Amino acid sequence: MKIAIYGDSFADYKPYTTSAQRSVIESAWSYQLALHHNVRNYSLSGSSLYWSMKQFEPSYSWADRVVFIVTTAGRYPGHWLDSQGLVHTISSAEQAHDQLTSQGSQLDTHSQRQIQAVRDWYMWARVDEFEIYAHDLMIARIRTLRPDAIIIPINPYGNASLSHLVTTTDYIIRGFRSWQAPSDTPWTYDDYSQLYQQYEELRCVCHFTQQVNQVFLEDIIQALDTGQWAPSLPDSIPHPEPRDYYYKQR
Amino acid sequence: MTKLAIYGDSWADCSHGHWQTPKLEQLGWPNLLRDRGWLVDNFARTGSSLHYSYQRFVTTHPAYDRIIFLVTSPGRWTRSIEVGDRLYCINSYDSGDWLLKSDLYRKQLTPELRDLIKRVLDFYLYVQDMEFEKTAHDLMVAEILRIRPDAIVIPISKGCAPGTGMIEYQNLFVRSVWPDRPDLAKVQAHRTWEEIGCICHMSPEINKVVCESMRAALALGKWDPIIPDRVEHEHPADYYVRLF
Repeated sequence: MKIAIYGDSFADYKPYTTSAQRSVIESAWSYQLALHHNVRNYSLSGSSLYWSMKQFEPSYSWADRVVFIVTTAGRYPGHWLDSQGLVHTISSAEQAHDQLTSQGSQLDTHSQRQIQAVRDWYMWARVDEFEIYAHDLMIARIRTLRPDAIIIPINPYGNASLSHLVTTTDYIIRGFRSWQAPSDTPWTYDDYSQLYQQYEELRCVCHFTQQVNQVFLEDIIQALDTGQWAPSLPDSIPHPEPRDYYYKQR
Repeated sequence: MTKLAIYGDSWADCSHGHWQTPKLEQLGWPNLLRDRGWLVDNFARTGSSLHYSYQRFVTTHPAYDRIIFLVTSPGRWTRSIEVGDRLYCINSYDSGDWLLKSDLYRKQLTPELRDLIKRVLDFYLYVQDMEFEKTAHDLMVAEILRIRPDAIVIPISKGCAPGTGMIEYQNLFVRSVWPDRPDLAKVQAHRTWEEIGCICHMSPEINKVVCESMRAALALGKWDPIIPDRVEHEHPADYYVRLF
């Protein structure tokens, strides 16, 4: 089957190739799917929905099936190129700040100014209502062009037409639940930002552990089979190792 | 009476530039339509973005029998800021730059507002992706027509939407008052002259023509105006505009 994948870091395992073990990278759902199907993966870590839509429009007709990970609304639609011509996205004000801190001295004046302006835009000038409207309309456009696309949001915010769908973040939460004591109140989606601030990924790819990637992959395969994204999520996704094996405290 | 809603920017906002001469407002084409028996609610706002109009359209259109929607240029920053007692739209780099340098607003711009305006200028210089803006713009125009297929959708100029643009009426004004200056039809009006006797960027005489074009479009259900070669004007050009 010819499958086209669009999305952000939830589908793009490439950024992990410099830091993660090979076995971790190869556990990525998108990597695994490509072992059994003819997959073209157009995802880019940190990219906007608009960036994905630009990849989608000229390429979707090639695929028998489309998997579209819908990133959050309001991401900077552009990118900048470093001196080696590599594409860098800026997915948040924090990421802009990190890029300026880590690479500032290697950047030319224009790139520095651009990244600073993007940071300021996130903090001061972005108009969320417009971003959400544009996001809604782009999703409607994707659905018009490929009514059979498997659309999976990374979060339920902003877009009413996605709010009923299981998100990629729901899988992360199910993974974290496996390290909770039975007496603890189970983590929910609303706890995600707290977990994100507390833990940094150590042995993860596409933001998932190997075990979460496997469950997600099985659900994707089922969705490709049925044409519906309606997975039955388990209460938790078991892990053989303690949490510190997969995540480190920030 | 038939209820008509008008959405758009300064090309439909009769108050544009008339803080000191409000009597001109009555001569704007939306008000002329009102005089012709339409029950008009005009949601147009000078300097506003398509998103501004789109938001108002989505929430208000069911209350109206007919819709006229003027589609402004893509890429306008979609928020407005309060300067003193006035809302100001920074719809381009130039308009923000002008606001920062304007003597008129110098005392009313707090340090916080100046910072915000500088960030919006940086947005226009470094952040704005016009391909994204055009995509979002075209999707909004398509959505307007999907929601209200009967809407009369009119572009301001080329690239805003298909069809004859309002700019053609400004060109008609130029042909009419400066028959020997065809070069002025090709300039950016706001850089070339200051409006002193205009409403919605057009003379009162041209507003009458626009009103008739709008009536014809509402009767036909489509925007396909016939624009005359010339319109007789009561006054010379400098009554309406002052060349820089």
